[in-house]
Amino acid sequence: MKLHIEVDGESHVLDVRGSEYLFDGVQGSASLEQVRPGVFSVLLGTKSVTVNMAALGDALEVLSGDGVSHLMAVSDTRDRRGRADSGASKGPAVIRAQMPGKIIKLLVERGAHVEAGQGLIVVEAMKMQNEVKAPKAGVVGKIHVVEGATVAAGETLVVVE
Amino acid sequence: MFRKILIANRGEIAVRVIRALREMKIASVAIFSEVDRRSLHVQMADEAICVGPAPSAESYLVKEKILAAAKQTGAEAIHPGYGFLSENAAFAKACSQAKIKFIGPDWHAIEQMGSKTAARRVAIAAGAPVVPGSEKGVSDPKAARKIAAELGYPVLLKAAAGGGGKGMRRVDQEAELAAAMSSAASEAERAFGSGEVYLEKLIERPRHIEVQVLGDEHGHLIHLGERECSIQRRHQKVVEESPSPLVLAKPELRQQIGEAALRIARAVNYSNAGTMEFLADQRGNFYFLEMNTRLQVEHPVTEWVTGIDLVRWQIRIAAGEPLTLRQEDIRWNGSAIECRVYAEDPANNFFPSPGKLTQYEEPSGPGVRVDGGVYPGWTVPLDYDPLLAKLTVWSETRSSAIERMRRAVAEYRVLGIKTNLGLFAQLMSDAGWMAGDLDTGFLERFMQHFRAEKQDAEAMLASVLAAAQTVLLQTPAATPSREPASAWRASGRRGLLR
Repeated sequence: MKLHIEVDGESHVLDVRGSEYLFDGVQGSASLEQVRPGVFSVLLGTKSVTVNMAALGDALEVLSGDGVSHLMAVSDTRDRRGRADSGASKGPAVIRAQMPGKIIKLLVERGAHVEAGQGLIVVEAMKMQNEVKAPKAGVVGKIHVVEGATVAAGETLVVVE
Repeated sequence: MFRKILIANRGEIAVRVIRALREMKIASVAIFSEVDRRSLHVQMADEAICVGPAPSAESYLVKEKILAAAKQTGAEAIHPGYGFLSENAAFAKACSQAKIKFIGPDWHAIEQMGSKTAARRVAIAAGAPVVPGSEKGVSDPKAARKIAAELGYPVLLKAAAGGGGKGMRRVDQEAELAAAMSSAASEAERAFGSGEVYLEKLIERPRHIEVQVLGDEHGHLIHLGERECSIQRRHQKVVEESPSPLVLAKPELRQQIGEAALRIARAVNYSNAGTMEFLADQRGNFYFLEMNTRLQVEHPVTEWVTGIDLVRWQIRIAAGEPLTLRQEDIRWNGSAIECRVYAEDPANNFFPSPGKLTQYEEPSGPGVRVDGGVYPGWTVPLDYDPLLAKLTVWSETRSSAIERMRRAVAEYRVLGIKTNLGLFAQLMSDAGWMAGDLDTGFLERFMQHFRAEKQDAEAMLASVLAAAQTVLLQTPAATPSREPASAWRASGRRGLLR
């Protein structure tokens, strides 16, 4: 089964067949055990990695031991008709809300060219304003929110293509 | 000894005090606001009572409600923890008038040490060093030149009316003084409506070192050594340790700074636990800054290295018991480090990150102590300090303690909110930190090259495989859950004090 996986806004392709996998063109085999809800023991050959996971909006928050969690979204490539089956970090970047907040200002419009690191949206949470930045250079695609809207953690804000 | 004690606090420190009370067979009473009904300290206490809505100004800070809760439950004493009412002299006085013992110093000492300028005068009178300065405003450049020459360059110009860096100027030599004075004065005038500036000796690359003191109500006072708290962000401590690396380099410093702290404590007849904060330069000269008349957040590092339970002693002292520890009995063993685990995003200017802890696993094993106030499934409220827990480790040496902290941080698993654990993971491998080459500007410089690290390839692959499996199998973690509306909220309100 071929899957499209977005990790912190970057696209990757994973093909899994039983214990065999093909990830961004690299082949291998792995053993996975869900040891308790949301916790996986993964053996990559003999290398043991414990992965913790929880739902965050319509995405997954995944942690594997460096204290920093990563946002992942998994979709079947068949759901992505009309899009080129691109390799790593070439696909669209989906930017999601990291925490509940309020949309203060949209800094870009659909169709605008943006540089990596450029501010896209100002979100306010806990009386602090925070600029959501473009993870890569590209063209602003669909903007899913309007000024003044409140958003939940994990909610899609904007897509950079 | 008391039979029942109310804890006028929440979160990890309330849990810490409840644990001590349970060991001492003293009943505990928790107070909580409406958003804290499900919090850990309420679950752990023997009794719990709601004191109002979420804003602390309407709950945890309302003296009358807390005293009423103590009366209603028959608590004989109140432990204030840190923050909230812990350094409020009026509250300590109200407790004493209500014949409820305030577990802390006498309210006179709180009042006296509560003002920075009054505390500075006490320190000077007691013969303890303070940062040399003009104390009063200086407007005449000629007089300023004379004072600056006495202090020795570099000096710092500061606005008498305010803080936050406004009206502050560093002056390295006499030729710059007059121009710096006029620009500092006009900036202070615009910011605070007063152009008064004063001079202070500039301490280059200062370290924040503090001393724990403990005294009974019969005049016996001891110190329990120092803690170094130079790792700070926005003037808030993030990592603390004992011994200070500066003391490891200059062992005689501990006794010198400890005796200075005791001189100040004696001058105000101090009793119970307290902390003197000092600035130290890199050579080991130290200057009194201020006193905290309460239990400190970072007290566990002192408990680890001395083997002394500060909270139990606070309670015994408040009950009138004599402090049976003599200064010459105190021994310092090994090295302890504490990391404050906050719900915040270090990669994003320490932006607060409240929300539900969808997964939460604390580290354990040899030499690891976690003072936590949360549990899996708990929602970190927006309303209070976002401290989740204090992770403290002990080992024989500072370098093995750092290795232990690195291991413990990797075992710590938090999902649902951002934490600063990733920052600690990187800090514990930083060469400057490992060398103990610290000052209060350390973390700010460290953050300039801090990036949330890219996962290593194997961790990333394992994560991706697990994510794919979760989605393919439609396991529960992949299904977003909505919190059902609390049926208990109504009953919580009924219990609210009017």
